[in-house]
Amino acid sequence: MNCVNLSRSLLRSVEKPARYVGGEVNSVVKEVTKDLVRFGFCFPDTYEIGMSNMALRIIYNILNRRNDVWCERVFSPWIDMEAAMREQGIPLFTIESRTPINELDVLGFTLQHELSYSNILNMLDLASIPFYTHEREDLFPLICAGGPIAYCCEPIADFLDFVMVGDGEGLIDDVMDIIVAAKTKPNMTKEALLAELCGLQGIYVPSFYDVKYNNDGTVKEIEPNHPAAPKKVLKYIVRDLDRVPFPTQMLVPNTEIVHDRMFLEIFRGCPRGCRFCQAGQLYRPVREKLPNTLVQNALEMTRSSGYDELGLLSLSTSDYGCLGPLTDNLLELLEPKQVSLSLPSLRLDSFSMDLMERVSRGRRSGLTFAPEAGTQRLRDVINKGITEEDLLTAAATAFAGGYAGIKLYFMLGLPTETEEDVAGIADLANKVAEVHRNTTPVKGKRRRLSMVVSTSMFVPKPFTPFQWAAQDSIEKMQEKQDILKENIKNRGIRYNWHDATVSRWEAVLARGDRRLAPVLVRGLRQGQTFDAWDEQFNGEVWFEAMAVEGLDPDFYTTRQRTKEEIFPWDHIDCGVSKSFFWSEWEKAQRAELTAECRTACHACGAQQFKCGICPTAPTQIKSEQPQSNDFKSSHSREQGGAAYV
Amino acid sequence: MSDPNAVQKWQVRLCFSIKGALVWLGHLDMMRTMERSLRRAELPLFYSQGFNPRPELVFALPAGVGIETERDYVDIFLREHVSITNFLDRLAKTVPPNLTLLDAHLVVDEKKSIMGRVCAADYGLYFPKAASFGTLIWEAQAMQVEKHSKKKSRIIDLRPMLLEVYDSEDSNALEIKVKAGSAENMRMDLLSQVLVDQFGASEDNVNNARIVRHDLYFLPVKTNKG
Repeated sequence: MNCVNLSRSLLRSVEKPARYVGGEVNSVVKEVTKDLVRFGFCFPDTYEIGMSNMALRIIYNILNRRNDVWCERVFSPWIDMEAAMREQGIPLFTIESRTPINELDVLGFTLQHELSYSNILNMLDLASIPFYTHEREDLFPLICAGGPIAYCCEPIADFLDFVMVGDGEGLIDDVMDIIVAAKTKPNMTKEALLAELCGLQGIYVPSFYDVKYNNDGTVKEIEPNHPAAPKKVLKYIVRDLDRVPFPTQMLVPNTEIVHDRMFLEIFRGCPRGCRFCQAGQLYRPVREKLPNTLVQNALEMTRSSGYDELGLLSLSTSDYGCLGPLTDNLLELLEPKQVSLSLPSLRLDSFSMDLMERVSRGRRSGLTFAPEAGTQRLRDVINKGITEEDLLTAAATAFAGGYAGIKLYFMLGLPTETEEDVAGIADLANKVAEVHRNTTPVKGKRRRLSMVVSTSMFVPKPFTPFQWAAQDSIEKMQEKQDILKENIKNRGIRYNWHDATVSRWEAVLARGDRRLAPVLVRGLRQGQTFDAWDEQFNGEVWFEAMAVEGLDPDFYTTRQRTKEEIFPWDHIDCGVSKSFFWSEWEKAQRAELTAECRTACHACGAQQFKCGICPTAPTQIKSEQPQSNDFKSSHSREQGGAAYV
Repeated sequence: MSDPNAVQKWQVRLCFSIKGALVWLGHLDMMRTMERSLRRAELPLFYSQGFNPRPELVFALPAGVGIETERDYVDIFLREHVSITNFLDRLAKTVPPNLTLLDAHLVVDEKKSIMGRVCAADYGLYFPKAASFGTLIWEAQAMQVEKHSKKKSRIIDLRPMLLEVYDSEDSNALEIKVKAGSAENMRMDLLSQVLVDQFGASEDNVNNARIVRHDLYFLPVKTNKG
């Protein structure tokens, strides 16, 4: 086994060398044998970002439980490290054993957002692995991907041998069984292996599909060209999250990472159905973990990691069925251990404000609210079920409670947006400022208002009701930013806006097709990487590369799609039907709301999975969830003794 | 203790060594790593009061990034008495690889913090290629180098901070005793710079040197009882 040597002078010359040397508590090192399948979990960003990702922790844990697989981690080296590696001819290596990644059997990339595509190519390039599937003749390494963007990763489809669509933690073991067996078969071909993988629900082999285009550039058809490939790839779903192994033996990084805490996913999916939100649709239906499982997980993680903070993860914390009892129990167990709790993504209601007060233990850090749009009409268009009154009441509660730092987050360029809607953002901010003037803090002394109004540009995403929508042109985006710059005058309010060019490039990739592959290669050859980092992003490189390839960004961004259009991702099935998205798109035009899933089932398609909160789910599973009081008492019986050692 | 409301604190001085991957941690990372190890061991740490309670850890002297330590010291404060054997047994199970526990003892009645008492340190620099700098630096009148801080940079002289150059059997090694601590502290990255700038060492040889801090020297203890 070759092992990369990182010299002392190299490590002394780069920023934060700790992120390249491993040696963390709970990291896994195995003895390499002939039949061991070596998997590289590749995160196409830095160590600090990648180590904060839940998918990495989950997959690392599941794969390393097996004796026949060793999963190691691979991250993008930062710019300075990359330069040094290229200069000294050092290939990209794994953290655990510093093995060059081209010597591994499987490289699995996690796709968290489209802007990481350039880094994926760069990671392959740093290991001298050819980009295109057809250029890689050897069986190994197989290049695969998973994660939320795996549902619509056509711009990089030509680089990927296979894609895992859906809840990877339920699928990966079956995938590895097939690969482990393939490794020992003498005459195994890549085609035969990929065909076998196609038998699994959620496996998408891009090379098994041909895409034809119309003269106007739209997709004409996407057809399987291999008998093993299904006409449509349905996502893999984990029906019961309590049954999949959760990584309670947490990897503990030696150097500070972005989200440097324990995390606990309380449920997957979101019942809300905001029309711009992709994650909310991809992860349908909502599947909750039982409070008992969560408390057990929290205790084990606290012991194994030594962390002093636990974050509850979900798309909408307030929608967890037993949130009150859960947080009570967690606080009761964790406070004696000096572990604090953080609750992101809370809704604007009094229950949430109370809850926050309890978990913050008197600390007054900032608050972030996301009304997303400036007027009620537009909030109804996007199905964001909050009102101006909700926001102002929440702000008043916050100010009365001694908070002075508040952040409001909006999107510009949402479908049907008018100048009035844009000005509405400034109005809303001014109204919040007025609430601050009129509120006397109950606790602590009055503090000067410090409000940040932040806008990002709307990017239409596949698998949302807005997948047909046009994105604003750069000029229009800038006009809208200017309106806000003029209208936000209060000294206590700062206005932050996001670079419009990044959003335009993101929009190209989000709804992009396979013709973008050579564009990505071209941009990489110009040295363009780390597009998600504002100071590294250079849109000119990408739009020039598109021009060279004869592609027009407007085709992907500012063009509104028709009902009949075949999308580049139409052969992937996330469970929610295209007709449901279309009806939501029509309701959006009429500013009509759709109630959340628990209030009424809209037969979006996810009911086919017969799990979670869907009315089709077998009733006994989640109705076992104890009432709040029962839960508390049963819990203290089971765990009380072990809780505090 | 004179203050009846004062909470009893037990001060344990732990001596440990650092090598391998942990050498590349910055000081804040090192503190977090030690803190999490102690928490994993479920030792009864003493926490500061306030909104954001933190355990009290006082390191004698952070080693620079890239420097191994053979005897490093940290004072750990506990709210309950734990025997030293028990303390070491529990902690040994939870520290990361490359951090080795050497010994520990209970500290009673020390007025000045361990940090304030560090006065000197023994270092060894082991170069990949031949490099005999001992006599050169001992006989030098001055060793001037530019020290960069956040706001400005200034020229400082390292020579007065050099206390001793030890004889070494190994022709690739430089064994020295230098001033260390919060008042005056000779940094090894600055010394490396001087070796290149003033004594013509090759950058490659110096930058690839293994640097080990063997031990620290402390000023005598003044106890509360005088």
